[in-house]
Amino acid sequence: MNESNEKKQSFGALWGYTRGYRRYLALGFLLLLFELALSFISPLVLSVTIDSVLDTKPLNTPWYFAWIIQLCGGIGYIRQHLAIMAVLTVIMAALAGALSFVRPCLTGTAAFQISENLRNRFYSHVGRLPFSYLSATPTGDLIQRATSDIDTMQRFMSGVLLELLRTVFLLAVGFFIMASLNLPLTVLSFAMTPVIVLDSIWFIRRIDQIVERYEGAESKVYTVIQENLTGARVVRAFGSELFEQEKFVQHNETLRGEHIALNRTLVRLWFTLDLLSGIQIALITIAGVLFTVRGSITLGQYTAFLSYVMIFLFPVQNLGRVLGNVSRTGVAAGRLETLFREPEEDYVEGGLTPNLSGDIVLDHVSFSFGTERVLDDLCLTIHGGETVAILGGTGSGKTTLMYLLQRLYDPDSGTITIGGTDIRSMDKGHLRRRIGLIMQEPFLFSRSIRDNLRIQNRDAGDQAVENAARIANIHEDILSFDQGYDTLVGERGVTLSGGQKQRASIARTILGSHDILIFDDALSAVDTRTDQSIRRALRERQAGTTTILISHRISTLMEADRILVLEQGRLVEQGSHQELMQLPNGVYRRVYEIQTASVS
Amino acid sequence: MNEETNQTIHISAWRTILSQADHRGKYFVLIVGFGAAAGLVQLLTSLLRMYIIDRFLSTMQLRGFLPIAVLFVLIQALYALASYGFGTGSGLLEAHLTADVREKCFRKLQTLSFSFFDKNAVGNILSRLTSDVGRTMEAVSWSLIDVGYGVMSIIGAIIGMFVINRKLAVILILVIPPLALISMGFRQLILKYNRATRRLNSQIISSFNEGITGAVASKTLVLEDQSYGEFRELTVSMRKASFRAAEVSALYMPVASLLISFSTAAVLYIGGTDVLRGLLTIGELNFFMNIGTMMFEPIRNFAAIFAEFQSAQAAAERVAEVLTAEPDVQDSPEVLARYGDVFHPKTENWEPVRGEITFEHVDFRYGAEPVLTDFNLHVLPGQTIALVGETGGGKSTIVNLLCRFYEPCAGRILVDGTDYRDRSQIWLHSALGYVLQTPHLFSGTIRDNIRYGNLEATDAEIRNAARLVGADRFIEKLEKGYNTEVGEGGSLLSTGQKQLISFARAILADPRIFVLDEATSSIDTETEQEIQAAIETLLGSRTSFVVAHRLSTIRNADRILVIDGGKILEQGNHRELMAKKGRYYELYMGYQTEDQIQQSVQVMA
Repeated sequence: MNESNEKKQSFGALWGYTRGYRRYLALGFLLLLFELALSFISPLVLSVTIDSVLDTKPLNTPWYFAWIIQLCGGIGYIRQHLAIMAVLTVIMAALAGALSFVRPCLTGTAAFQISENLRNRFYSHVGRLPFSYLSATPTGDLIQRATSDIDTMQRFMSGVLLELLRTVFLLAVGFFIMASLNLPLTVLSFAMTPVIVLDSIWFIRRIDQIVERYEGAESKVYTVIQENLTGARVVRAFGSELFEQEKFVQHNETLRGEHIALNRTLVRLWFTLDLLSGIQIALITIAGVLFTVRGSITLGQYTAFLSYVMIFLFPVQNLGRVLGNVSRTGVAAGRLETLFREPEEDYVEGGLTPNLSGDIVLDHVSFSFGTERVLDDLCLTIHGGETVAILGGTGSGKTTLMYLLQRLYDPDSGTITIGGTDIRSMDKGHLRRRIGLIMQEPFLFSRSIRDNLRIQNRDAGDQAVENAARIANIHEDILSFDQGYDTLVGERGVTLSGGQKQRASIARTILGSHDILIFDDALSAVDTRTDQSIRRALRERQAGTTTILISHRISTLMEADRILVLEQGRLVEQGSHQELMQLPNGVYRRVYEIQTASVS
Repeated sequence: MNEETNQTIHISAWRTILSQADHRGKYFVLIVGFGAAAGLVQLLTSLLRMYIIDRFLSTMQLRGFLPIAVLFVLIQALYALASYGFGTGSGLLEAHLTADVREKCFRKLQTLSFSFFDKNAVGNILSRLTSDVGRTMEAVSWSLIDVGYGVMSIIGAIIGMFVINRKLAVILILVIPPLALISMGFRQLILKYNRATRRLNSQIISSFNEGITGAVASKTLVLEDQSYGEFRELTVSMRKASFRAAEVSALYMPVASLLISFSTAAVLYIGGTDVLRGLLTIGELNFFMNIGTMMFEPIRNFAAIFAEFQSAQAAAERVAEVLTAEPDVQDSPEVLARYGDVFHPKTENWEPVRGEITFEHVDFRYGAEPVLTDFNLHVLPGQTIALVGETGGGKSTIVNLLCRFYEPCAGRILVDGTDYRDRSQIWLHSALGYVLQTPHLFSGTIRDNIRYGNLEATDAEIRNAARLVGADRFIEKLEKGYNTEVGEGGSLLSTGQKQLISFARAILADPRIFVLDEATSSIDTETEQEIQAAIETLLGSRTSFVVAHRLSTIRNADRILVIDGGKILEQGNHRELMAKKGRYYELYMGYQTEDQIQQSVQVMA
């Protein structure tokens, strides 16, 4: 896709986001027009006062202001009552004020609502993207979009867009009103405008490049600090404080240099803008004098022109920055749109919701990652209520198998049925809720431990939570934290060890209700004795639940009704502990022998 | 959050920070000076226009206009020059102050004790040195312009007004106090609402973070809708808060303009009347009509600066806290005089370390919680001591005390028969080799990282160190060998590879005292057996402390201490302790199977 097409598309997307709020925006822009018109009419009060109230020149003013004068009783009446002009000044300010208050409220309503929708859409969309997409996309990428891209959009909606329109309207309205006083002087008033805009666009481009270099230097300094802090022990123990200090200074000096360069370029931009604006001001001040003396404009109109230049100079100076932001917004919108077009997972909402306590049957199931075959024509049956253990090395496909059961992936060929029902016809939410999957590296959410445990069952009472924690052998650990069950987990709270996380996730699973439980090496960070006691307690409690244990521990595997041994996506051995021990060269037997060798 | 509660500006934090950069004082003078010049030039523009109107336009003749026109152009150029002056000054000041203060903070961090790092997470300290320093220095540097400009233009305008027309001057000055009050009030409100939106924004960002990193977990737990519901509560609050903030901002300008319009109206009426009576010229009237708006700008800026400092107050305090922090472990002045500090070591006065270590009646507490009580230990030079026991039993504390990362609360620790507090920290650390459970590498090449142990080492020595720990085989297989970049924190290498490099680094340091803090737990069994031999030859001649998780690594230690509850529960060599069938025996049998599990998995794979 070529660049201009992509840009067109991203601005099309932007336009799409405004759906539902275009009325607010349209009304807001209309008010903006009035507001700007008013700001150009206000100087006419002084202008007319100077010419026709304090002096005796006939009224010489554009029709719209002549109409206002008429409303106030005509110029003859005003000459007798100067106070009317004073009151008019206040009325104009009040009117402009009212408009400039109501207008942002209108556009703000739209802008903040659009931002909210965008954030919501992003969050919901990412959550519903398929597992395959999520596991293949670096999280840093997505987080970048969630923060900086959405931020750019938010700023565009609530600020940049308005600034842009405001400036464009301002120039249009200004030109119209000024031209109705005197066209040649108006043209002179805008003489420097294109130069100022081009100047700022040129500088903003250069500044963007310098900012990139600056940020590169900045991130190097940050890395040095971060590594120094995380490695504080190493630094101290090797006595290399001096070396670290020198390393830091070297990078800090580079950053200082880039910072100076950046600020210097910014200052140059401001200097050129001030200079060009100064020329514009001087031009109109001096030319205005000539026009007035020649009689092309009146003295009052001269003062009005002096005010006009000041009204639009500042927005014009800003135009380069605004345009830079607009193009950045285009890029952000394009990236977001690409993500939004990623299809969401089909949740089979309204699908079958059967009981899942029947037999799990895999019928000729194959699955590949790219060209790598992970499961190869696998057939197996796990009976309802049975406890089955799976043994397999890295790459044997055991974890993939579990993901297939939860439909995080779908098999390339073959079918999986539970209690005779194809899982593809089931409501996915139901399927996943009824299958408790306990991972080796479980994810805990940043909230209190209590809320983490009852995340699948928010009605669980404190007693139930504590019982579950006891079964999972995590209760004592929780009590040892400062705030017990109310202790926050994660970034803002305590960091749990790997074993604590595993046990917490078991307690979390216990509080849900499941027909099938899968332990994917879920107790690897827990010592053997605790592992056993947890599983015993679980078995008593969850009798009748089909249980699948994936583990390397013989002591764990031994206790299952049946053991399945997977190798390269195929089932190579199955049977009870006794049966597998009979196989002379069996994998299971070999593993058993290594693990028990030195103990016996 | 700190930021919420801070409503006032405490000058002390700012003073602490600025005192770090007092040699930048000339910039302060320059910026304020140029700012004042700009203010003056701005006023001159108005006065000159007044003159132009009265001299040329009221009389409709151009005689003598040329020099005035030239003067006007010059004044505009002067303004641009002044703006270049203060801009350059502030730009330089900001860059220098930021870099200076950051450097001071970094230097301080090199001397702070571990108690500081225990209390403050890395992310927290990092943000003090980065965003907090940036924020405070930005506030200081750029606000100086507005101070110079504002003070000068207000004072200048007041004087000018009084000279021209006293009555009108009074009218305009009357509007300054309410304008200042309104500005301050609105700034406070805006600040408050901005804080609310900023807080919500950071909550939304962490929510996004969690939604993304936990997307898979949410999927398997079927929490998509629930999390989305919670997220929507946040975004709704965000919309409301943003709207409120926008509303307050939108109200400020109209209210101020209205207030100014009262004075302008009064000027128009009273001044207009005076013009009719011939007491005031048109140029003067025009001057007074515009000066209200001109004076409003600095007032608005002052209110903004005040709010800016208020909101940067918390950041300033966080930076000042680093600058004023005192290390818990400090060398006495006498020690510093003799042995030097970390930045200026006087190595010529250092006694060589033999490696005899004695703990004499050592007590140690974390806060109120006792970790070690009356701990005694004597280690001869060259002995290998292994520490085993449950997490939290005090093993790491013993090692931390030995390294003088902390000092005993009571009792003393002797190195070669001398209390180590009579020597400098850097003296001890220079004799120390240290390998951590989670290896820490620095960005740079593998060579840089090994060289960290001894900055003067030659390439041959580096290769030799790598060979001794068996790291050479994987390094030489890499395309760029020793020049391979390890990535940030070593992220491009596996944990095992990082550990091997950290071993080579420690060996290169050729220390007298060696500390291995659960150092082998992330290396696979096979590699571990290989480095085991290298470790043993190394430990042979050095005093060593090994904190071990896998007990197979310490079978050959001279003495094994089973530590529990801050006390030595059992001690002896492996054979003695196994025969005793006590705690060590129990631990050993348990760990043994865990080792075997790892081994058997490798057989399968």
